This record gives sequence, C-alpha cells and structure tokens, in this order.
Amino acid sequence: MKRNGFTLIELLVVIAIIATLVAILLPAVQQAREAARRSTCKNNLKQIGLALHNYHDTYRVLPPGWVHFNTLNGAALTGDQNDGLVESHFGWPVYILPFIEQAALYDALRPGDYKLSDILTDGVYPTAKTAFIGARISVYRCPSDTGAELNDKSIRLLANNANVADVQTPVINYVGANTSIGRFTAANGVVGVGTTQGFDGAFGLNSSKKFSDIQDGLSNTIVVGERAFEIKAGGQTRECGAGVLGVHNPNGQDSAAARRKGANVTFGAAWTINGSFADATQADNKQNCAYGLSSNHDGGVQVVLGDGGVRFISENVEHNTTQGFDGSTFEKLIAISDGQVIGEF
Amino acid sequence: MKSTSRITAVFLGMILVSLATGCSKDDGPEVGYVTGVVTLNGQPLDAATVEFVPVDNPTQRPSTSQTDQSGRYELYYSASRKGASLGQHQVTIKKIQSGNPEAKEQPLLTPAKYAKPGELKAKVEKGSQTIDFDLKS
Repeated sequence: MKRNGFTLIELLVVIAIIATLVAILLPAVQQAREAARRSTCKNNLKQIGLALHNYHDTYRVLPPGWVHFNTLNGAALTGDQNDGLVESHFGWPVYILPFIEQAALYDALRPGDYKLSDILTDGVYPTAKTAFIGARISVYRCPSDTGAELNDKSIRLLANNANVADVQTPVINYVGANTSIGRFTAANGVVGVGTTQGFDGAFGLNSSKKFSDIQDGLSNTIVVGERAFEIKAGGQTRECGAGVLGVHNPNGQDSAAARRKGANVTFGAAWTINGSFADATQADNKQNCAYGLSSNHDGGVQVVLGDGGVRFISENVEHNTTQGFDGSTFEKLIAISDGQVIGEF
Repeated sequence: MKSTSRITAVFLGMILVSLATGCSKDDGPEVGYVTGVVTLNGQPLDAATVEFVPVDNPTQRPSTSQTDQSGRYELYYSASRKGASLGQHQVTIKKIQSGNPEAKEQPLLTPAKYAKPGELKAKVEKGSQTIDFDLKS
C-alpha cells in the first residue's frame, strides 16, 4: 500500500536535525556578535597606536602618562612632601586628542594652559568643564565593554580640590603601560602604578619617552592595553573600573592613595590579566583587575605594541606577578629597555 | 522498510554522538580545586582576602578568594576558572578595615604576619582539596 506523506520516524529525524542545527548555530551567532565588537575594539587600539606615532612625529616624544604641574619645573617630590594637595591632572588620552580628530575638544580643554582640577571646579572654566564631562570619544570605548558613560567607581572619581565633591567623568577602556615591577611598601605590601620609582614602561608621571628610548624595539613593547569596566567572575561582577581621562592626586610619592590613582590611565605587571578580584582598596591583590588589564573578550586582552600592531595576549601568558622584574614574557613586553629576548606570545 | 529504519537509527545515533561530545576546551595549565575555612583564634573570619602565590610555577597565575560569613573561601585561578596552580604556594590572608580607597594606608584587622608572604604555605594537588587556616593573633 502506498501512502502520501511522511512517516513518524522521518518527521522525528527532521526535527532532531533542525534542533541540532539550532543548538549549534545560536551560540555561534552570539559569538559572531562578540567577534564583531572585538574587531571594533581592536581598530580603536590601532587608531590609538597611530595617534601616538603622529604625536611622536610632531613632538619627538610620546605624551606624558599624566602631568603633575608641581614637578614640572623643579626637582621631583620626595616622600609624602606634597600629600596634602588634592588635584587632578590630565592623562595621556587627553594629549593625543588632536591626533584622533578631536582637536575641537582639545582646544576646549586647553591642557597646556588649564589644570584639570581648575576645569572641574564650578564656575572657573565652565565651557571646558562641560566639554570634559560631556566628552564621548568612541575611539576610547571598547564596544564589548558594558560600562556606563560616566565612571562612578570611587577609585576613578576626579576631585577638583579638597573642598569640593568628587566628579564622575567619562569612562575610557584603554590604559597605558606603566611598570613591569610594581611597587611595594615594606609596611603592608601595598603596591601601585603611580609614581616615578619603579616606572619602566612607556607612560609614567611627567614622562617623555622617545621611541629611541624603547631599546627593546617597538615591536616588542606594549604601549597601550584595555581594561573593562566590569567583568564576570564566578557568577559575580567584578568592578575593574576601566579608566578615565585624568589622574587624581598622584602626588605624595609614597602614599598608597597616590599609587592607586596612577591606575586611572595606566596599568602594571603586578596584576594578572582578567583577574577574578576587584576591590579598589586592595591594590596588592595580584588578581585585582582594577590595576591590570582586563576585557570582556574570552581568554585575554588586546594590546597595541609600539609599532602600531595590535595583538591578543592570552590571560595565561607567562607572567610573574611578584615584586621586581622577573623576566617573564608579560613583564618583558611592558619594560621598554630590559634587553631580554622575547619568545612567542 | 527495514533499510529505512536502519538508516534512521544510524542518523539518530550520529546526532546523539555529536550532542554528547560537544566541544570542551580548557585553556591554560592544570589547576587543583581549593576550598577551606579561615578562622582567627577559632572564630570564622569573614570578608578576608586569601591569596595563593605559586612558588613552584611562579609564571602561573596567583589565585584569590574572599571568605564568606562562615569563613569559607573558594579559590579562583582566573575569572572563568576555579582552582589554583599545582605545587607549593605562599599564602597570605588579610582583612582590611575600610572601603575607602582614598585613605592613605589601609589598616589591617588581621595579624600583620599573615599579610606578608612567608608565614603560611600550602601545597595544591590535582583534583579537589580542603585547606583550612587557623590564624592566631
């Protein structure tokens, strides 16, 4: 007997195949979206790399990591000499604005003439304050990042001065390389990416590194990497806090607060990539993602090297987080003139 | 009829196998799962940070955890993996007073000797293990 139509088994097989395909393809679509965001993120790093080159072509040095006016003309501060002075200062992302086609914003901020702490004070430079708080620079935001537009993490607030409340300022996802060493105090092992001691990367307090200072070669040195606003770890949200456009009170060479604040625009090698811990008060925790690099990409972060090449660094890269330069791959990538051979990474 | 059912059976079998295998990948070095309880003078210590820094494999990641109300911790190797790198570790345990990152230094609520490497050691092996710490002030 010949019947029209399908048997039950045939139908079941077809349904099973369709279900399997859906199960396989749906996550793949989600992955494709993340891949697209990662590409944009990578392109931003490339633009930053090119902007740094153009800056260097113009001024013959890399921009300062951040500027401290009080040490501009004199000798460096020692000890906690200047610790009572609460001020905010522009970071390197502001100095390269004209080279990422944000010249109008740069002109409004006038970082050569104004102090950031004055700008953030009500009624001093109102146009500049509006421009700074309202800055939405897409090149500085990674699309994979889930953070809001303004940074509300306590460690990233920029204060205008001691008497006025802290201010939330725009989030940026890219931070410069500061140190492969990490600084500890003898007392309770507090570490930081702040001041001039222990600084061996491309960006530091009042730094002015030339490409000729990067003796390891531009292709072997990380200049900028990414940090997420929040990452998920073990079902919990870790507040890495990304970065902001300036640094608040990086004075007082040995205060823990000062060293923490350097992390607003830079990172160090004393912290693992994509750490599972974030507590702004605990800078000596080696898994603290508020001071190192982190991202919402799977398994690592993207960085731009001195030559403008963008690379993906696995979170399992050879990396010794203990104090001092220990010759691991990640540390060698940050130090600009360690003179050691770097293998595959 | 018989051959049709055989073909469908083979089909179903293939689908089941492909579903069962899935895709599993574990990046990075082997880790051991570590949990345990931290006590200070016999009392459970909450909100303390436990950090394992590998001595045998210093280029692998240190692992971190924070104790809960009952003093229990569970180490994380990275954001997506639980555990700690294998071998000897130097362990530091500390609890910090305030949540104010602007404070100049963060005062310790636990004995200072445990906040520095050297006092506590632990060995992490394959599989899972419970490592308890009893601190004395």
